[in-house]
Amino acid sequence: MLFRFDDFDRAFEMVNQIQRRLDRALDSDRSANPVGLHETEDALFVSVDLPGVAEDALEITLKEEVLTLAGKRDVEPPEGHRAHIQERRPYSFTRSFSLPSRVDAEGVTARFTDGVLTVELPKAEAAKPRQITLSA
Amino acid sequence: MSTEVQRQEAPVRVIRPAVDAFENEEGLLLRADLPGVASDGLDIELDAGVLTLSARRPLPAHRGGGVVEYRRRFYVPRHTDGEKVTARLERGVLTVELPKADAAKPRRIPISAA
Repeated sequence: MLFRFDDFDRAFEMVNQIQRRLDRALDSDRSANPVGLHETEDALFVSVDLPGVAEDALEITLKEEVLTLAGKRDVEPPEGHRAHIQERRPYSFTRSFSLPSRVDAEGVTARFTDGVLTVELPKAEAAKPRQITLSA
Repeated sequence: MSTEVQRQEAPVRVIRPAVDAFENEEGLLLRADLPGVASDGLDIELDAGVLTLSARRPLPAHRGGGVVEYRRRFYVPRHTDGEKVTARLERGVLTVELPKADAAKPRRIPISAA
C-alpha cells in the first residue's frame, strides 16, 4: 500500500514539476507583454501592452482562425547620454492564438491607442448565444 | 426588510512602471512605460527635489473595468531648472526632460592672454 502511495506521490510530483517549468517558461515570455483574451457575448478581445512600438512595427494577421500579433521596439539611450536606470526592455514580440470561438473574419478590427493594441473579433452569428423559445 | 447595497470604488491596482533615466551635460531624461495612459490621466509633480509621476489607466469594460495606477518617485538633482521641465506622452511612453540650471552646466573657461 505504502509503495503505491509513493508511486502516486512521485507521479504527482512529476506533474507538478512539469507544470512549474511550463509556468516559468510562459512567465518569462509574458512578463514584458502580457496578453489578455476576453470574451463578451458579441466579440472576443485580444489586448496587449506594447508601449513605444511604432505603428509600422506592428503586424496583425488572421489566418485560418489563428491570430498572430507582432511588434518590436528598441530602447537605445539617446546619443551622448549616460544611463542611470535602465529597466525598459527592448522587445521583439510575437504571439499566436487559436481563436476559441468562430469569428467573423471580415469584421475584425484593431486599434493601437496609448501603447495598447486591442483587436476586436466579432463572433459569427452562429457562435453568439441565442435565446431558445419553448414551443407550446 | 431592506438590503443595504455597498457602493464600491473601482478597484485600483498600483504598479511601479519600468523607467529609464539618462543624463548628459544638458540635464536628465526620464522615460517611463505607461501603456493605456492618456495625457489627461497623467500627473507630474516636482516638489523639493522630488519628481512624482502618477498616472491612471482605466481598464475597458471587456477587461473587467477598474483602474490601474502607475506611480513612481525620483530624487532629481538640486540644479534642475524646475521652470524648464517638459513632458510628452507618446504611444504609452512618457518622456520627461529635466534641464540643468545654466549655472550647473559645464562651461569652458577662456584663458585670458597674459
